[in-house]
Amino acid sequence: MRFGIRRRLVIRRVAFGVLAVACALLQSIPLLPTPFGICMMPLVPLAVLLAAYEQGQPAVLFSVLGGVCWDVTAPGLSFYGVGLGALAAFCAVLFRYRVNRNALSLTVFAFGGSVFTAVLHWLGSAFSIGFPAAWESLLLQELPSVAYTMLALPILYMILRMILKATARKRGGVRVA
Amino acid sequence: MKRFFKNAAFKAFAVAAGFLLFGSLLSFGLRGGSSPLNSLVALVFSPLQGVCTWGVNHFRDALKYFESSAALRTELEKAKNEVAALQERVVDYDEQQQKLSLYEEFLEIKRENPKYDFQEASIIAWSSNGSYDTFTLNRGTLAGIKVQNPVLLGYRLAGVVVKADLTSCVVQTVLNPALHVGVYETATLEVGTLSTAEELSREGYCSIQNLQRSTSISAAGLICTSGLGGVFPKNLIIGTVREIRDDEQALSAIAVIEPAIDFSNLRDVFVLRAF
Repeated sequence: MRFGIRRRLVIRRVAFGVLAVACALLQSIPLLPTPFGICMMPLVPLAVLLAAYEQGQPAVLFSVLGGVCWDVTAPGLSFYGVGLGALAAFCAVLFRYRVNRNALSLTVFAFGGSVFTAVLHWLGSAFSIGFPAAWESLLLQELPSVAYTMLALPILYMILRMILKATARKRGGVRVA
Repeated sequence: MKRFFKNAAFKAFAVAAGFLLFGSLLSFGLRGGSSPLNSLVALVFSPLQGVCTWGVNHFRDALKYFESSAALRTELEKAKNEVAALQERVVDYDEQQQKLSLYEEFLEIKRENPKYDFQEASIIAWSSNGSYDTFTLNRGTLAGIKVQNPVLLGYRLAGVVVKADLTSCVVQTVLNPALHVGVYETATLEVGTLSTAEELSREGYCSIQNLQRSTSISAAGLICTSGLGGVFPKNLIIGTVREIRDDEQALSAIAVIEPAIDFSNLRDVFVLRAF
């Protein structure tokens, strides 16, 4: 019995790790469409979902893993590992003590995280090319990328729920996560 | 607030963040470019990224088989237009290269002979009988060209201007039987007059006629202008001696000369307006 629970837990955590690496890969290879040069950032909603449906520590560690994979492909010095870890920790604490897990809270946190990431990107480009020229990239690239990223939330939610259902243990004929 | 800092998730984040920030500081200090954790993850992630990119590119290449023929036709037309434009550029480039090497040659001559006054010209027509005894240039009296101006290609004599209009002029080449040039052979210093027979001209050779039968000129000798008469400067190369033969009456010898210029490939020349 205990071995069965442990095995399901390991499978679930491996699946989440693979999902984090897969999202980092999707961001770095030319597979996802990029309409008008806008990119999706699926790692941000994934960090929120992991914080909502996984225990705190593993959620933070998987988010850090995804962020470090993002750092590997990003040019120059970047802190996506730290940033996504912070987002996952913040959301994990809130979901545990204050906030209910529902569609609204997931959407709000994912949206907030995406906006924060987009603003940081914009600040980075503003310091390199100057603020007057950077306003155009904020309006034409960074903010639209937030909307594009929110499309990943329901898809990742469904994938996460599938993993949780598949690895749930049965109690009285009913699957319990 | 206390619960936030005591939470296991925050503790995990603090440890991970501390480790990552330390690694970033270390890489910044060592100027390595990436932290140790990034480098470790990159060991596994980068090959995975390469494999996925390869797979995506191959998948996209395979999808091309399902593209409509209309789209492919448009792409083909576009490619053909690009090829045509590039070919035009290559032709222009080749032409510029030839002109550049020509100008380099003449710069050398100008340095050695500052008094020479050149005018660059291009051949626009050859004689209508198919031989290379006459050609027309695209410069005339408006460019300062006059009759009896020598026409050169480097140090080699191509011919002389025999007729000059406002914007064009006619040149008789060294293959023309009507052209007579005072010449000498550089090894023996024997002088003569270049005057070509009709048959030799058609074969692409010129000749020095009425040489003594005991002439010391031999095959491979270099024939240059002697400067006598004042029409041509001295030491312009005419060609090399191909053979010495007796004339029909066996009273004198003829030196058959292979011109130094390949007239079949001649495009641009310089007219010597003054020397």
